[in-house]
Amino acid sequence: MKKECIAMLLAGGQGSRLYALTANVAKPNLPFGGKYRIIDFPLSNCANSGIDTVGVLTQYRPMKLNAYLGTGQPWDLSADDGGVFILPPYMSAGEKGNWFSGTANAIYQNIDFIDVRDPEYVLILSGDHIYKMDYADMLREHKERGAACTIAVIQVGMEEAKRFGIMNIGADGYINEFEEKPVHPKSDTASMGIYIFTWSKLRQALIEDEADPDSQRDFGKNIIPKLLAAGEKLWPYRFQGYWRDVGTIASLWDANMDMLSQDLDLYDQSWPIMSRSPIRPPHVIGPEAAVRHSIVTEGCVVDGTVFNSVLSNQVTVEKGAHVEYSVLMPGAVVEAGAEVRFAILGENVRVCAGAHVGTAPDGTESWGVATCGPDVTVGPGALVAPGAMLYDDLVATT
Amino acid sequence: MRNDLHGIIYTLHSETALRELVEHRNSASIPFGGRYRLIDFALSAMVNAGIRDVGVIMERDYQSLLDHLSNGADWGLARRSGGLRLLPPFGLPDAHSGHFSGCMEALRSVRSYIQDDIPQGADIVLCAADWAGNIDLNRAVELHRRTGAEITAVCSEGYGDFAHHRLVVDDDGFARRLVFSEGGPGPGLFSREIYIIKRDLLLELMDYCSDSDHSHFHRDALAHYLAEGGRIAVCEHNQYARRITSVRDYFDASMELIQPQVMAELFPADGLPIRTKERAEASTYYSDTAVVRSSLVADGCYIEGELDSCILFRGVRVAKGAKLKNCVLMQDTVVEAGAELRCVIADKDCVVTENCFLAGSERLPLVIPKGEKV
Repeated sequence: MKKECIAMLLAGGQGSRLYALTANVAKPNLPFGGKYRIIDFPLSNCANSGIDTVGVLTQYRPMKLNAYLGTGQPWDLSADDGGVFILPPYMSAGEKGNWFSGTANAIYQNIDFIDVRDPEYVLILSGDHIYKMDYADMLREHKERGAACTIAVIQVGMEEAKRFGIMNIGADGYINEFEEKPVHPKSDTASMGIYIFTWSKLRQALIEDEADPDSQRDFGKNIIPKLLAAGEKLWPYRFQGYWRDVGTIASLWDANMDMLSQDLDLYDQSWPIMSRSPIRPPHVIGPEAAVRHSIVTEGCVVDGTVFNSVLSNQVTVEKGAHVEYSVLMPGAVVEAGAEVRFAILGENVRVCAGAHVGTAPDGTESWGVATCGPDVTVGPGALVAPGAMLYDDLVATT
Repeated sequence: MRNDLHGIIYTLHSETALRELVEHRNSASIPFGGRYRLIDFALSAMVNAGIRDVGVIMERDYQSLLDHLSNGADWGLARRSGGLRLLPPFGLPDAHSGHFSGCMEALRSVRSYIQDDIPQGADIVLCAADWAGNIDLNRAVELHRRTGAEITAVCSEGYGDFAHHRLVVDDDGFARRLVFSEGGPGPGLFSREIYIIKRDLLLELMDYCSDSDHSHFHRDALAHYLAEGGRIAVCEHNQYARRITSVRDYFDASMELIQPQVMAELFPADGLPIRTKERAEASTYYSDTAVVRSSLVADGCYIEGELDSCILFRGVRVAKGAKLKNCVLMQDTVVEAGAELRCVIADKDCVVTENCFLAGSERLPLVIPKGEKV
């Protein structure tokens, strides 16, 4: 069936800079902002933008992500003529087949999937960004400008520019140069890793790139420069609003804190972010609890104090426990008298009575957000230092 | 796995003592417990027992019930074979006036559904939808099958302070005597009005009631069955469950939810889930000025004021300086800055404006009808 525009969501990355948090799950499946998982943001943007066909390219530890996506029904993406399609690497006749060797190669290996839908345009998305964007507006500009590729860009400030892929823009408004993480950036117009391609142009570019033995099969490093070199029109779609890449512990923690200050309005019913929620009752705030400047989700039970923190579903904070400036993922338990400060607790982490995780910034080099990987138990009275990354259970040293 | 078990929920006329709560809806769709409608408890009990076909008999004021149930997907009942069947009056050839004088008459109006869509030899779980509880029907089904009973009843110790029926259980575990109580204690056990009944027997009892111009399930059908020498297996359920028949009941039941024991019985962490209609909501946000204690709060709320012993449904907003004690605020209700509420039940989409002071009492809670601005 013919589609004007379909989306391909790159969700195969390991998220290695999140260490213990992504040791067993793909990054897009990480809980975020209380109720959500990171992939909810691009999926909801698709649904809200009227894009009803989304191919999700998975590779690293996809089991939980696959289960989470299901039929796509929670995002209203389970229509008969569209839907969410999980696209893992696969084998072909003659035992030919390969892992996805790069972002461009992942799409290349799924050319058949796209051809069946016969779209005019293909939207390429990442599974690790927190933002709200109307892709329909981006597509409108893409068509108006007659571009082969439109790249969403955002001003990041000259200080930050060297961490990004920077787009230099000519007098005609089109992109005339792309520099990946430049040492001396000429501008602060950074690529957000969100592309709309005219499918015929992208299809051609992917096939040519596959034939190039020196290519890293990457959109930013290979496909975009090649289109520029070939004289194709590349248009920058200027995005204003909240956008964060949550690829590191610090950025994941920061972005969660941003949700507390409503930097991204999650209560706006005209652009809802949708998610698959476990079936749990409302959360319970106990008689001696105190909760301030915090996000709390259904299924939580709070009897202690919670300040400046984000609690996903089914988190328990027992009486006398204290949580501040922290992100608690689903099922985390903070027992009586335990303290959690400036920390991220993965799913089902248990901080036993009297244990301490993290501390407030103290100005030292070693300070950082303390992180406990999923299913870790911090034993009674144990101490997790600021900046620590805990993969395994910890027992108090005497 | 197929288990030849089917469900029928009847949502007939609502008790008048529910007043404003049933002005725009049937008692089956009264919002309860922060994110549920009463019918969720009956539906979840059925789904949790592996039932995949549920018929819902509707009589009147069922628009909100239709909105809530939709195609049954949120209960896993949007299915090709079976699934949720909505049975409005006038919907089947057997229907007549659209007003049912009792459960048996309502069943008669859906006779073709029972006869054609529920296979011979199957069992039917039959219940109303005006109660809250987490009832494990698996136990009752197991008893029903093990004893070979034609009818199994779910009963509790204790009593209701409303008219109800009681079953007197003999030493062999079967009840052969049915007692009507005007309210208060009585002999035997308190019937939860949840029955497992053989489909073929139900059809026979429907015929009997039709021929003799009777319409009540207990007074007519069950009494006849027992008089003819029948016996009813009884499965005791003594966990939390209660019927909601008046505004006061509703208020009391809501306030009970704040007790951890009640929450644990109704929503056990690792037990059977109560399912409901999903909504796209963010988590709830508490601001720097929020002061909250002893409250039950659903997702999507935005709290800047003070809450003490309150139940908040999805999407409620409580502005800075607002003070609420012993209140139930239903979906998307807004309480503006400085307002003070005590013992108030605010229905859906209400607005309590700035500095407004409203107080009911625990015996007579104040109800703000749906959509009102105070």
